[in-house]
Amino acid sequence: MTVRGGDIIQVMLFGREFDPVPESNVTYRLSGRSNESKPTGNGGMHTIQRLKLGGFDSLPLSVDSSRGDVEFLQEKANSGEPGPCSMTLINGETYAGNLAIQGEVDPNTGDGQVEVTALGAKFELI
Amino acid sequence: MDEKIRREAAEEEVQGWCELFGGELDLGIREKIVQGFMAGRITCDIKSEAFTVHLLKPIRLENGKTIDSLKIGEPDFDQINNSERAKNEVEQTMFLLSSVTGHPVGVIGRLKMRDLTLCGSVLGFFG
Repeated sequence: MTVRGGDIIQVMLFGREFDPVPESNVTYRLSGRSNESKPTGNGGMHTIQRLKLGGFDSLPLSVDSSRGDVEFLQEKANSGEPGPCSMTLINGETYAGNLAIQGEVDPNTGDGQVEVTALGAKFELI
Repeated sequence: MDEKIRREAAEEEVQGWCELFGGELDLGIREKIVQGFMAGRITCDIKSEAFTVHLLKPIRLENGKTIDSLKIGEPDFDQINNSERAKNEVEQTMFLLSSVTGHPVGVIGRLKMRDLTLCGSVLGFFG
């Protein structure tokens, strides 16, 4: 039986390993193309294809403030430069690419987590 | 194994590395490293204090790329601490190698046994 889902067992962002939150359900996307199709008047299909970035949305990480986790991520966000990021799933599959942090890096004091979104021109199974 | 460097020269070089890094290698690990050096599979960059291990079986990635060597530097406290969540010694080596090489554990896990053994042995210089 092939494992279809589950925990993320390792997250590496810009050369640093972060602690993934258990039982997280993260949306990730491969870089490539996406299509938007509409019907034509005569029953055909009119498709517009666009390039899309790859990466992940709102990946929750357990914050270790003693290491300056949030400061490290904010510094990477400040630079705006893509860097090596990877995510290894519990079934051993690893997705990686050079990604830049998107949006805000705002940790929560209550649960000690921060959610990170990162995108890049390439994010793929390696 | 092709012998590219003579044993005496290899042993002298490995001894030099031991003195540089202050690591104590047990006989078995030392022999693996000497043989790896003799075969031209290990090089040391003194400036960056890191070893490069050339893999017998390069790791082929799903995206078509290949990793044919790993650069192994000294792990720091966080990396060592992080590796101690491992269930066993082999897994701990994998986590440490992942940390110091920057390659995800899912990639390190594809190392063949001989390569994993040699890479793990190189970590012994720092312990």
